[in-house]
Amino acid sequence: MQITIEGLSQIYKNGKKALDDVSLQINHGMFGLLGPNGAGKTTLMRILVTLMKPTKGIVKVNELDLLKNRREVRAMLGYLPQEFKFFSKLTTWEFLDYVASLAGLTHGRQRKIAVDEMLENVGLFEARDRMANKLSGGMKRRLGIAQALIGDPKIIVVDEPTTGLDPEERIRFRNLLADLTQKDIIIILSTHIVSDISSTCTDMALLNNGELAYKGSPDDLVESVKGHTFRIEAIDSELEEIKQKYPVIATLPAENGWEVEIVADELKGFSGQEIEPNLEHAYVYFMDYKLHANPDEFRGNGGTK
Amino acid sequence: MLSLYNIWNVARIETKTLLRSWFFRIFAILSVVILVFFNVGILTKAGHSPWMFRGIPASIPYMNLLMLNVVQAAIAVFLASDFLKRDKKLDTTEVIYMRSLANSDYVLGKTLGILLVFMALNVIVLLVALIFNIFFTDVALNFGVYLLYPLLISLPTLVFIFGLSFLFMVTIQNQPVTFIVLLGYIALTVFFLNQKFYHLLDYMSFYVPLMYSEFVGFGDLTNILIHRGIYFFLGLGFIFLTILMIKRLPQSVVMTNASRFLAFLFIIVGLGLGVVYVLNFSSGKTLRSKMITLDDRYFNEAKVSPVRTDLILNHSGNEITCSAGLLFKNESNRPITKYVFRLNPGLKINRISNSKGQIPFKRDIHIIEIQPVQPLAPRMLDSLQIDYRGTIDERACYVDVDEETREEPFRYFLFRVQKRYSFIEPDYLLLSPEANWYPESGINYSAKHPEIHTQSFTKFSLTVKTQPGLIPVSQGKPVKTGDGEYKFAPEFPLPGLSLVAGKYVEKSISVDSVDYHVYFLKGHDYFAPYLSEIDDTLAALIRENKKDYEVDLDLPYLYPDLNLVETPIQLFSYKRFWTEAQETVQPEMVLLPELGILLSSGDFKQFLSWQERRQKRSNVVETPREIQSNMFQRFVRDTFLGGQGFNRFRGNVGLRTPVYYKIFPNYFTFVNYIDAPKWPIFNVAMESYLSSKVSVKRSMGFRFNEGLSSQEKTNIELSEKSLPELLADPDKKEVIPDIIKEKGAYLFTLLQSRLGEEKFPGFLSKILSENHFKSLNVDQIISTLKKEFNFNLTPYVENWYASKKLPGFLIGDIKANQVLDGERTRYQVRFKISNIESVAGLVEVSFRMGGRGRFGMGGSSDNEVKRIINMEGNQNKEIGIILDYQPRVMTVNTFISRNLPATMTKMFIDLKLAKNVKLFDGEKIVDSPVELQTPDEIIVDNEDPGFETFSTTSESFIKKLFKISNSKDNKKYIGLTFWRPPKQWRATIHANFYGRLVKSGYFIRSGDGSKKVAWNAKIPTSGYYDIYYYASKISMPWMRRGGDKKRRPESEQYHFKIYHDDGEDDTILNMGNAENDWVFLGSYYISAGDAKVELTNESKARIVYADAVKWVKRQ
Repeated sequence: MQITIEGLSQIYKNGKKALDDVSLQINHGMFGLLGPNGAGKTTLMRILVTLMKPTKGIVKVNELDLLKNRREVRAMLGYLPQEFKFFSKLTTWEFLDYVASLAGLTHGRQRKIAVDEMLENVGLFEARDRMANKLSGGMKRRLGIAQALIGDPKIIVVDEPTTGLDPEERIRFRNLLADLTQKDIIIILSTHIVSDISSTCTDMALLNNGELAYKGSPDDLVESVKGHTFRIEAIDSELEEIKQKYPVIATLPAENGWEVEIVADELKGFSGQEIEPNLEHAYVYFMDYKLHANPDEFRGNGGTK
Repeated sequence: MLSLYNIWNVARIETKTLLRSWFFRIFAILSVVILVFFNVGILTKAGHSPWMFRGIPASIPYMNLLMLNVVQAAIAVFLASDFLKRDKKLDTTEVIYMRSLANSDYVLGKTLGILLVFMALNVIVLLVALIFNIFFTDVALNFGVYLLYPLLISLPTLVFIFGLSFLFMVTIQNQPVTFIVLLGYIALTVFFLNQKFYHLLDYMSFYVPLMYSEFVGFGDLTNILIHRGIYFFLGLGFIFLTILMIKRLPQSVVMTNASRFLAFLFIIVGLGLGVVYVLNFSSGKTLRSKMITLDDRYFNEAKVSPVRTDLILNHSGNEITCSAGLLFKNESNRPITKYVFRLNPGLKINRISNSKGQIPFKRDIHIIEIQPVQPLAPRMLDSLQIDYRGTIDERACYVDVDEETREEPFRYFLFRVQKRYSFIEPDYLLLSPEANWYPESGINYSAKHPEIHTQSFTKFSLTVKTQPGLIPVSQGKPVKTGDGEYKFAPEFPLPGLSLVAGKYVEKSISVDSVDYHVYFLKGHDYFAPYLSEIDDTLAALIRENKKDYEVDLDLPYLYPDLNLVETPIQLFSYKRFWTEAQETVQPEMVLLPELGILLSSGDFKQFLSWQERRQKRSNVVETPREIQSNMFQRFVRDTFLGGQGFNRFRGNVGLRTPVYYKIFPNYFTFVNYIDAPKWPIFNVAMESYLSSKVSVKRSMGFRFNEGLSSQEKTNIELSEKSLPELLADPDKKEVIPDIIKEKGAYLFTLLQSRLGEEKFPGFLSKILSENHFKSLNVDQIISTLKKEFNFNLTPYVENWYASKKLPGFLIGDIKANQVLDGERTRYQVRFKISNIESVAGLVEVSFRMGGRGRFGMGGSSDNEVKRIINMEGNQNKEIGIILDYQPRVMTVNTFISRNLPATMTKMFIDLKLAKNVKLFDGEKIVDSPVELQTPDEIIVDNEDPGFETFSTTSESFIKKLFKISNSKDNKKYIGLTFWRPPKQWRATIHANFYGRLVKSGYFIRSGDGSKKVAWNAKIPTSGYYDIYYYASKISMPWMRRGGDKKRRPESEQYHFKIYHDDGEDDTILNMGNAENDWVFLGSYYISAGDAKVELTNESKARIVYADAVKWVKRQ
């Protein structure tokens, strides 16, 4: 399984560039898509799931052109949009059954088994006869995951899948995906929650302002910020200054004040201890320092979904 | 590729969702409940609906679906537009959109889902109807129509509405706007545009003639399919356009292209069918206009007169093959060089021959032109044989009927029926002279002179060969000569021959010299149970009816048979002004509507339940036998004898088309013809006069409902134009029958008065019986009158036909007293009458005695005394009449005159005894005319120039936009519409209004006083004047009996403003107390010059009337 993206651009009618000449290759396994709000993640995903036609560029799925072979590509897809709340008047079971029937499970009895199993997997079996609209936020999310996974899709695209899930559910979801990575499938995951990626993804991309800012493994990204993450011990009066000077990753109360984790090119005026970076550090450092270098790029940020 | 699996999946879910929507559930439950109630009301014993609502098997599903369809069309707009709105609103839609599913699958699936839900509702409604049909009615079940109607009514409507709603939604992306636009469109098509372009825009099939006959089905299935096809295909086209326009990336180029192609194709097919639909109608129009042009060209060609026509007809499938042997004569004075015949253009001529062999001919549409080898000399005979085959082109029937009338739907209640004039179907045949199914001599219609229409009598014989099992009915007794082969040889020469053949069952009864046959479709003898008790008295009942009728009419029934033939509901006929008869009545034959559903007395079941209820109420016990015999009598009188005049009003609610099944033409129209080339309407005038002797007189109440009476319409028209001018005016076609009726009444009343009441009937029946089955020239009548009565009719007829001037009568000084004639108490009525115009006229005075019955009801009373007074121009007479009984009502009929209303009545309450009165019975000419006004009175009536009204007219925007105008609006006088008085001051006619010749007044719906009228007078000398108002008491016809006064509470006040020298006075007049006379308003000093009285529309009464004001100088 391989998705090849070449020179993908999306310009909206109001002239806004949501994607700007993005080229990317996604191989099988879990692929993380990271980026601030409006970076173009959702646009990229919607293009990938054929809900949107790009202004320019080519997307190929195993040599199948996404623009020309929608039928075949769609048959491979599973998708969970960011917003997934409002259903027509169907029960949980009916909704999933409907999706399953469209996802290629044409055989009635087999579909019934698959739907029941999937509901079991996402912990909605008990709620199968409840109206989908009446489910709680978390349950709706789980139903969303279930419908994205049903029918053995080859490409699973999930947009912010874990928002609204409690930690236990998040772990369950992660495991669910992890099981799938054994097969030759691609899972594309966009998220704000960096730890979702660090714990599951083998490959990732960082989008900023419609442009591809980074592409590689999460480990490499972390590696690249080594020596730029610090922990400072600060008293109340210093905290404000630190916050103004550096991006703060975490602030923890300590004996004499605060322990503040920051990212910085170099630490000036404060004494601190260099710490081992994680993906979160890397992401913030990357966003703040690497991309800051080119301030033009930040203009007009925000708003794209 | 289109995936049925996907379509079904989407449809399945859509169905589920819709069935869960409360909107749909409520709508569905409401529809079913309402329709159940409706069916209870219409079909069960609890309801009292007329027979036509339920008589024919198809009517039950048809009615139910039509009603459902109107509502579902509106609901469908909402639900159809809702699906796209839902898609937009629901964020979960995206996970459906990204599935491998073609847009076409998706949209078609959605459509199918909605359609299934609606069709399920249709099925439920039809099941309800079916249950009622089977368990609660005695109407036969026709299961087929239960399948056909949803496909013809609901399916195309729904597909169209879905397509249109989808298309609007994907284009404007806003459900409320879509909803409003489409509901607006629905309202527009239903209320305003439905009649335009032959109901082309009627997508709901509200006006599509879908009534299904048990004889022939729909009547014109092709036309129906075309019409429904327009909407079905347009709907499909729109749905495929939606597929192209839906906001989802298409899945495959092939499907997109296919959808594009199909959208285009379906829309083209839909529009194409629309064009075909309109062309179908307009081609008929073109054909008729060509025929009319041809008719005009051949109209003046000399005609040969048919002597014999021998027809051999072969009926097979949708075709007839005929051979017509024609024997004809030249009855003119000049040789005829060209034979002109006419034959329906659908019948193609194979061969024309004479004894010497085949001869050449020219055919142009319906015209056949043959050049004889040598001209046919006067009084010589010739013969031809014409062989032809084909079918009847019904577009060529009734060419004289204007297109507007032709396009008027044949409707009753909700049902629309295809108008058919003739049938040639494998199982059914109906050919009447209008179909022109055998060659007839010459042209008998000219658009330039529609009044010129002659009739001839031909001796016919007919051999029919049709499929075995079909029973033919024609004039004469059928003689079976083989399997499916019959011969008819009518005894007398006839004006035309007709042939009906179908799977008939025949029942007959012989009474005296006439055999009565009833032909009905098997199973259609729904009437049989209602005659079970009177089997043995039926003959006596028929005899009695016939005798009574013939006594009234004073003419005999000459035919040996009378065939009552059930015909398909679609058979339609138009009234023509040149005859009383319609195609539904043929010589010795009446073509009755299927299952009697258009007959007001055809509902025996209902009559029975009425009778039972009446009995319970009045405690009178009638035997079933008595009830049945009453029922039979009523049916016969309403249907065949008196006509449907009176009962139609109540019984046939919603029937827009007058029906005609009277037997009358068999007594005169098909037996005699008076040829009066100079006065073409002479024959129909006589026909009208004779038929009025046996028709039920319309009650006064009826007249109010219709507006002006026939007499009033006639007098208004004739005061403006002469009869020949009116006949030539196409705009006046509606009033022509009324005018002919009044003219007929006038002419024959005149004859009667000249010849004397005793001699006239004898004269008439003698001259008619001497000329049975042949044309009689009017000159012969004139010369007989001269010879036998020394009376020259010519100047009278000439004047009657062509004169533009009308007499005008004033009647006054009416005195009525009880008097003593020796020992006897008698009653003397005296009055004066003046004809203030220079032309002569007639006045008929009649008195009704005793306290018999309600005024105006029923026919002529035995207790009636009549006197006809001849009035020369500018003549004054004093009339005295002595009566043996106390008169209650005096009616003065001025016939055709300037008087409006032409009939006046005067009631007499108990008359006082006057002593020493010189009895006077007769008339004398006096010098002084009737004076309605003394010299010191100044009267301003609403007809006078001093009268003015102040109210503005307004017209609705939509009416203006689509030029929908009400012809009533520009008429001078309108009918007295009590239930819906006009919002503007409008003039109307009523005997209780003040007036010299025209007794008219204005009326208006009461209101806030902003709408005024004023009477302006010129006062010659200054002084004190008494001012009076003419308080015309106009009561509603249904409140005539006494209750009137109670219904006029004290609050019925009129508000006047009187202008005088000291300013103006507001005066209130209490109409509740006023008599129908001058009422004193007040006394004022007014200087010479202008005087004025105003009246406003402020009143608590429903209607305010404005009539006349009088200023009387105080001595």
